[in-house]
Amino acid sequence: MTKVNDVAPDNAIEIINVSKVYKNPTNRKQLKYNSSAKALQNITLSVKKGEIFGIVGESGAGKSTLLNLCIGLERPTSGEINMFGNEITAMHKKQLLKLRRNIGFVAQGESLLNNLSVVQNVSMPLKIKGDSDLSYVQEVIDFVGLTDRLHHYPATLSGGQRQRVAIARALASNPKIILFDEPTSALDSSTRDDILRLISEARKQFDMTCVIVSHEIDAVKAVCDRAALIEKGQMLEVVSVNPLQTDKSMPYLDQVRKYLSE
Amino acid sequence: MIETLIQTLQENWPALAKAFYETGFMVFFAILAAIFLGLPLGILVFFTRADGLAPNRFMWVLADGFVTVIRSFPFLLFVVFLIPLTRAVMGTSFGLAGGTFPLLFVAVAIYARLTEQILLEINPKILHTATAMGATRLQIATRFVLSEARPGLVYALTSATITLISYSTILGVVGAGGLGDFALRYGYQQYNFVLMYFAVIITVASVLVIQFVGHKLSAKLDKR
Repeated sequence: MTKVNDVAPDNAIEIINVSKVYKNPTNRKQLKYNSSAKALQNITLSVKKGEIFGIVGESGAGKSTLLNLCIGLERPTSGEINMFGNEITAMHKKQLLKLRRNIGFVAQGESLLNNLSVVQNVSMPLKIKGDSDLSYVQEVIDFVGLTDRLHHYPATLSGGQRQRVAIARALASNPKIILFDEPTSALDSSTRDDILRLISEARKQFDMTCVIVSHEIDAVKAVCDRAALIEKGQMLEVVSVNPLQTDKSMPYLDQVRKYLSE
Repeated sequence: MIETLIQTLQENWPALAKAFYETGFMVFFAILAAIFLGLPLGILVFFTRADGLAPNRFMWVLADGFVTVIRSFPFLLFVVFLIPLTRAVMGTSFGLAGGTFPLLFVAVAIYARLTEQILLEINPKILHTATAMGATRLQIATRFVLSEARPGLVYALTSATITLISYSTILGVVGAGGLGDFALRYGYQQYNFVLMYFAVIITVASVLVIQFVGHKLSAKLDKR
């Protein structure tokens, strides 16, 4: 049975003291572990409903692991994660499947099905849910500005257009929250700005919460309300994002801290 | 010269047509086995790998072991080895039915391995996204894996069919007939080389047609 905790009612996600340790078996038969990697250590943070929350850190900091934990793709070694009041760390497989069907997810890089058209890709979450009413699909494709590309295949689209399709697909199941894993990492600066604008508009139009994992400070600064800084699996702090310039000569995380908060 | 050729073909036409039908019969049922048993078996091997979407060492050892053993078994010996089972299942170990049965096993094993290899080429991010969307394993297999791998699977089926035609040529040893058997018995053993080469030409032409159709279909399905 999923526990409904005493979480603040305005929180979409609550991560309480979460750690994730990967153990590397050296002897399969004896299952002895002589090494382990601490991907995340005692992370505690909350994401408010309706906000765009950034998770910032360098490669290997544990950002994507945190995202995977939030949708139950991985289980934490310790700690608790609540999403809209439901403790997902206590959910069993079927409950997790149901949960994931109501969460939008935009993966890093290319994740579209190449042999399916735009409309077929976007309607995939609804087909998974067993929802036969595909009328909403047209609405989200219109929203991302690909009305004239309905029957095109991903290979015929630009990188920015493909990312728009991925966002439309995440919106198709009308989720309360969308998780973005490095949504702008492979895009040029102009396309990146378009995508970030789209994310911002999506939050307003569809009244959603967004979590963006990124190593790109500019991207987080452009759209996020708050951001958590993560380094080597540990959370340094959560900062409110305000517009100010950065000093590129500073160490990465100092840049981030200064750039985002001051 | 040409008159002799035409006359030889006319005299042996019924036997040649029968041999063509026998090869077609054996390969047709082998292809059906490849599609309906080999494809799911290949998907099972792919899913149950240690780094797969549903790791299961027991299932993987069983499925992968079956594929490996059948594929590494010399086919002629496999046909003989399988005789007791062929007799038990088909009621005979001889003739067209007795020859088709071992070919089904080989078809399943060949196509399962080709399927697994093609699925390993799928971008892992697609499968990660499918899991994040809340797709069940069956939905991942049918809606994501098969959709993404479709052109490669058609291409692989073409290669498997050509391999099966080649395998079928030795099934004369259990009286299954076919073009290979015809070329040997009517051609080589009776010193009628015209017939032997003609059977070879028909086989090669069949392979070329299958290859052409398979490649066209695969290209049509491939939208990358």
